[in-house]
Amino acid sequence: MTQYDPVTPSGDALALVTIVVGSLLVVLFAFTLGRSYWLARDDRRCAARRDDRRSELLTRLYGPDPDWTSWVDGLDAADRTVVRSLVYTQLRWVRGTERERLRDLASVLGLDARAERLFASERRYERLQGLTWLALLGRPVDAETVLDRCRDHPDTRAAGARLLADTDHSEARPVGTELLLAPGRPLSVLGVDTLYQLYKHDAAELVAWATRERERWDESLFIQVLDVFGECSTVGPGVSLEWVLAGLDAASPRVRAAALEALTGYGWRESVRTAVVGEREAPFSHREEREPLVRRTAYRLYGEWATPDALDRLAEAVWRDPDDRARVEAARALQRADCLSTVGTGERAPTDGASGTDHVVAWVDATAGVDG
Amino acid sequence: MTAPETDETILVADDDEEIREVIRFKLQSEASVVTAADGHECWEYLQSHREDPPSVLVLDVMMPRMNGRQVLERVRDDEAFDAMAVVVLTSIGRSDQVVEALETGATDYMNKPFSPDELLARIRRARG
Repeated sequence: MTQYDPVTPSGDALALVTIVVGSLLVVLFAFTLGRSYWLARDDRRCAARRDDRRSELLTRLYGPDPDWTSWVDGLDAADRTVVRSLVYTQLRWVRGTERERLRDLASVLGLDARAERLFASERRYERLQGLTWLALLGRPVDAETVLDRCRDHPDTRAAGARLLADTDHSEARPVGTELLLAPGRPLSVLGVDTLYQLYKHDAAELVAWATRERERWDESLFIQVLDVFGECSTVGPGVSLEWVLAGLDAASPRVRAAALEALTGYGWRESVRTAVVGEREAPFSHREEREPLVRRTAYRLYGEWATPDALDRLAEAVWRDPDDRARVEAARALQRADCLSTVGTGERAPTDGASGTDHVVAWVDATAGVDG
Repeated sequence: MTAPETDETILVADDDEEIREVIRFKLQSEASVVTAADGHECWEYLQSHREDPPSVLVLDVMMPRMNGRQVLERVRDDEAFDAMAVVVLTSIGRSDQVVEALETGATDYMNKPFSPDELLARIRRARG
């Protein structure tokens, strides 16, 4: 019988492995410690450098004569990087004399030329950086150049339009709108806000644009334009709202809801009231509307208008709407119009009863001012 | 640099270091300027200086941990700070912030971006 001993490493080999692994751990530990120390020291130096440069910058900014040229001449490359960062941060929220002086400093630092270079770049990110700097520096820009260089992406389209708007460019509206409302992808958040900034005081041109271009837009863009239009000051009686009313017939419930929302400020127009609360051949009828989302929007609109017809629709909805949330919305709209107590009385009283309505009214009454 | 002529303190609470530093620089000739990086730090400072509170609090609305509205509510609920003027820094275009701040008891407000000269003038007026 042969017995095999298990193979075991010799004591020397084990010692060697232990020494190698231990040494590696010690080196790694020392390296990590040293690197942390070095990085922390670097951070402290950077913070101290930033504090020093900020202090110098503010002293000159509020002094009688900043004399930026001689100051910048005395700065090394690292200092200039810090000062560029300080200028970038402060230009974003300072206005008045300080902003003008900071713009002079930016010019001495060569930031205006750098902004132009970035804006001419083929790379989208650099172009966005260039647009940001041009806006901060208030540099005059050529509208055609903006149009040429910003068409390719919603972000650049929004940034280009915003630059024109912020610099009060004479072509801000036509060129900005052409950039923002080009068919394709929906607007970015900046794009939506820029469209609002362009038209918030007078949306007549936006209406003309929408009337002409609406068919080319996809659903998302159409909804965004309706949302913006609804937030702008109302347009005068001579401006046609057919493009909004057409949205009431759209196949998409989101578009129908957005169109209703956009009409909130137009209850004073008879044609609009007829279209939304009219009895016969109206483009919109809450009784035929299948989507609870759209009916809820309609009930909020009725509550805002608070005309006798609109209040009748709401009282009816509290009893008849098959969707619980829509009934609650209708009851809340009535409550905001101070008419909730009239539900179920007089002509509005149902003849065949409707289950749960008392509960809805009680709920809305109880939660008034809490979650309404 | 001019030393303040009074022993008053102005507390500046804003989470943006650059804004704090520029306001500190601008106001340091008016009073001793103390800064706080968020609402919680601001409230802690006020709690520890109840006997000798700042004459003016410059308060940003949007701050981490405790926002400006929450700080303002606590300040106005506490008699120790009755004499303290509060100038709130709000975002431009956010009229809801302005209304809310004034309803909560702000003495005055300024929209960002703002002119430091205008802020100084408003603080002087708020101090009366």
